[in-house]
Amino acid sequence: MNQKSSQRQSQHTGQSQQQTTTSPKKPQSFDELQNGKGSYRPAARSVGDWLDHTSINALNHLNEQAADIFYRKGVTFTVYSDAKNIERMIPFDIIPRIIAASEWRQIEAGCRQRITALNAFLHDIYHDQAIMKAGIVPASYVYASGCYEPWMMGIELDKPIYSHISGIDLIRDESGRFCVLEDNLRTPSGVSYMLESRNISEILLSDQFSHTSILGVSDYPKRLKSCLASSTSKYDPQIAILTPGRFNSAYYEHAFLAHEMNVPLVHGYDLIVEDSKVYMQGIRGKVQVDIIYRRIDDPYIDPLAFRSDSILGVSGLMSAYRAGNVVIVNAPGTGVADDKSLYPFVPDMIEFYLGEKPLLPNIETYQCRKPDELQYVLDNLDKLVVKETQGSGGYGMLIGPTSTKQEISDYRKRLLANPAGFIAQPTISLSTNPTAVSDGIAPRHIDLRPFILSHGDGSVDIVPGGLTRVAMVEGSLVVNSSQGGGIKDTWVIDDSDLAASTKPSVAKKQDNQIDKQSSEAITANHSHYHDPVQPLEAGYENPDNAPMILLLSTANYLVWLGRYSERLYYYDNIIKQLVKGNIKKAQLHHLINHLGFNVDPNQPLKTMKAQMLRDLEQEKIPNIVQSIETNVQEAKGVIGKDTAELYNLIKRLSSAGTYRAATLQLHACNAAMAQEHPIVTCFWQLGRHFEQLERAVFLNEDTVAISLEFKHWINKLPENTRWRELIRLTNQMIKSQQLSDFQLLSKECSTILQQGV
Amino acid sequence: MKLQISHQTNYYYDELAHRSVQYIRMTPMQLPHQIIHQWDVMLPKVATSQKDGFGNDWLTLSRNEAHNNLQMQASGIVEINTNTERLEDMDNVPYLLFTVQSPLTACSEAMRTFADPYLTTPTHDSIKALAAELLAKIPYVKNTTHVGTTAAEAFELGAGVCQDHTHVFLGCLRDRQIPARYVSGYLYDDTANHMASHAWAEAWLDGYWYTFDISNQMFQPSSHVYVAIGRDYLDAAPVRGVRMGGGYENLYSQVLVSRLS
Repeated sequence: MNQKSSQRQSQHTGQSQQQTTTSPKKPQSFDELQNGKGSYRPAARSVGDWLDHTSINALNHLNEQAADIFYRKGVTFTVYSDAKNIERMIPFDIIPRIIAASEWRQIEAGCRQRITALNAFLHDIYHDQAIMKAGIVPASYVYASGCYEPWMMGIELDKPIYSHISGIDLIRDESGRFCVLEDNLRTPSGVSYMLESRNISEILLSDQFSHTSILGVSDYPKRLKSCLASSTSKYDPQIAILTPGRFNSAYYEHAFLAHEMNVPLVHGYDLIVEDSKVYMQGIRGKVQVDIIYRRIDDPYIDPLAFRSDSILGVSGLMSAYRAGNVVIVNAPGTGVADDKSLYPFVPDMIEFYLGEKPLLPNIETYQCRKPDELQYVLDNLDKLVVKETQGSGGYGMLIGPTSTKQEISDYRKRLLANPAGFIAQPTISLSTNPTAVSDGIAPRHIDLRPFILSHGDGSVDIVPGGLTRVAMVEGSLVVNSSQGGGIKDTWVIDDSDLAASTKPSVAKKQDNQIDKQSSEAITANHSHYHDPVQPLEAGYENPDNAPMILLLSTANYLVWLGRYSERLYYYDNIIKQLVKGNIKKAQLHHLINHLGFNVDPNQPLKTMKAQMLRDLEQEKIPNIVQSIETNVQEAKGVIGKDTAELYNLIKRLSSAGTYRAATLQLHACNAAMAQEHPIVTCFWQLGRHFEQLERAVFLNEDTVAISLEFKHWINKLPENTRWRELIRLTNQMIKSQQLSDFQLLSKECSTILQQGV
Repeated sequence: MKLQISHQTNYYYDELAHRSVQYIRMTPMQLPHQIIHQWDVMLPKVATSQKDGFGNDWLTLSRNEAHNNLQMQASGIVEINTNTERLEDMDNVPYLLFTVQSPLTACSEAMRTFADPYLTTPTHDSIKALAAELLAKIPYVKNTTHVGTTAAEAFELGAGVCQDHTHVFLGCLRDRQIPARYVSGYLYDDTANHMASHAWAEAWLDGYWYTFDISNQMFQPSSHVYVAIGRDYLDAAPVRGVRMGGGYENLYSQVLVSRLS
């Protein structure tokens, strides 16, 4: 979760039954599950019963199991401050955050209202600027935000939505009232955590699920896809997700959503603009893209319009966009509306555009650009939370009450240097939720980010729930994952039949509902078996026969995945021979001469063997494992989740130094790869057999049998395209057995993979 | 004054480029004081013609076949009113937008100190005086700066071309919240008809845009043909392009402006 987000303020320790460290003068945090008298709120009773009968050891065990699942799936993120971009796992807590459906409806209405107004504001500032002319939002604030995008001026979008996918960060104050902490309208992330958390609680708390009416969130990808498709009036539009790549901290989510929505995961280099239309390079040629769900920030999406040093974007994209040939989701220039200096005006926007009173209140905000408010802030730095208007991820802010004198005085200097770049808010104690910590259940502060989908027709869709972030450190108000925050599952519970009753209604659960839920669970748990991983061309009923849109670049990664897999086997085989001792000096020399090892050929056999072993174990194999990992990551959009999980294990086994186990694990991966979509399997097999062929050629071994196997896979490539040339060249090589013919084949193969068919 | 303009831009690549995309702004603007009698932009391939956010005429040329050169020729006849003192604002581009600095115009402390005496109570005359001092401080010297040189760098260097003069000037004015914009275009000079394409600044004073051509110390658009406006060079550049492959490039560029009447 690297997106914009925020800090959570206030320092006082949460208050609850289990804990008593609180200052009596300060207001108590609102507890999400229990009321002040120590009993559970109606919607939380079922979970409360379970908690009361579950030991802390059992809870900690569940959390360990959850961590295992996250780890296996590779649900990780990268922290920017880490020198080596270390992969980290997000802490997860099994005790859910519970929202009664009746409360949820209010949140939903408030978010819908807010997003509708924000989208109207975005349309307005790039057209008539009525709200500025009316003197409600100062024009200078809009431009000074630095996010106002002149490229957006005067465009008549097919569907006038700017922020299609938004995250609104909500907190609950001491009285239990939901307030908006900030809006996220650029590329809000975290939705994969929402879905994975639900997945985990369904697995680990299946009993709870069977007798509680928890509203579902698992159809989010489907709802996202229909939201994306609604952003254009084109029939059956082609969607693609544009990612900055595997080094981005949210790459897991990009691949996850691409996979779940069955749309290609593309990089800037996969897309080309021709005559102001956007195409992706597939293995059968170009495919036009109608909607780009981009997870790249504005300055990087088109080097010809924005930062010219960007290599992540698509040259010419803005030309296609302004011509109406592609939809960019979210639109460029939405950052104005979530800038913290404009946040104080959102209630006015709601009144101005909708003529309504805001349903969800803002938090009182001091604008440091105003001299009197700045003075107040300077006088109360030790009590306030101060944020940069452009800050995100919880970086660059001051939480007065928990800061040292030195930190406050340093911050004062920054603030005075550029007052307009800061806002301040009172320190609000976020609500708390019981959380399993090492020595018991304790309250920890939380917030909530619902994900809001704005459709092209103006309707707004919100899945019931969202991402609950939790500050894992006692008393901390900082919930950002980049600052050590964790997550919880968010249960919106149907409380319509709970309101009147004072007793838990667990026993009253109807059997037929349980049956229905468990049969749905079976389908959900087995979705891998029938889900095509990537989009199929229209008109094909049977996924196995239908051609899929495989990107050329992904095909190239699959080829290399096959090659490195094969190379790992081969090296493992050499190690076996070295260890068993049945390798001759001549054999060693042959290998060294033709395949290149860091071995001195003038040494005695014993030394050579030792050098070879060291080279394999310290250099060659670790590098190959790294390359396998890289190519798996790059091809993640087309590889099944289970297969990716198997590959994850290779990386981990080898980082533990157990290369033999890693090689054995590769057998499992290969078995899984053989069952992927036929065209995915085909390119991977092509790579494996090409590797064998190349090695045989280098070692002057007989290549006929290997060539025939290679040809078997070449024959499966798309017909009537440039791939056909490979069949001819393979036949030529089989006939001639010449190195030069192999080289021709090799060259043509890499040319096609680079330039397309 | 009627001007015949011919603007030739040729790029030659050392190797074959597989693909390229160019954003081209070479069509003069339709303005009350500037009439376009005839204009053509000749390109190797049909380009998409659009308006950008500022209302500039904007062509997108995409080539997805191997090529080793790019030749562009813009030419035509433009008539300008030489007595124009200032320009009206355009409805579609709010002038306040031009108070915001861009990375190319960001004002350094040295620039601020330099401009301070002229901008404490800014008037047309005091800003003209600033323009004069700027040219003295940053004399026109070719080949010392490049397209990516920032205002602060050019100021520090004390040398530059019209693009640098304009950026420094914009940086100083915007620092004082005075709207100021970048103009790309052509200049008629009766002493020499071979020119490169030109750039100058405009500042928003008492409700109008006033011309500040620092390099030529001209303060009325009496010999200026407007092609594109923007916040800085990158918004108004005649050509911005990206290519795949091609190696090093050589650029041949020439502008001919001659007077017809």
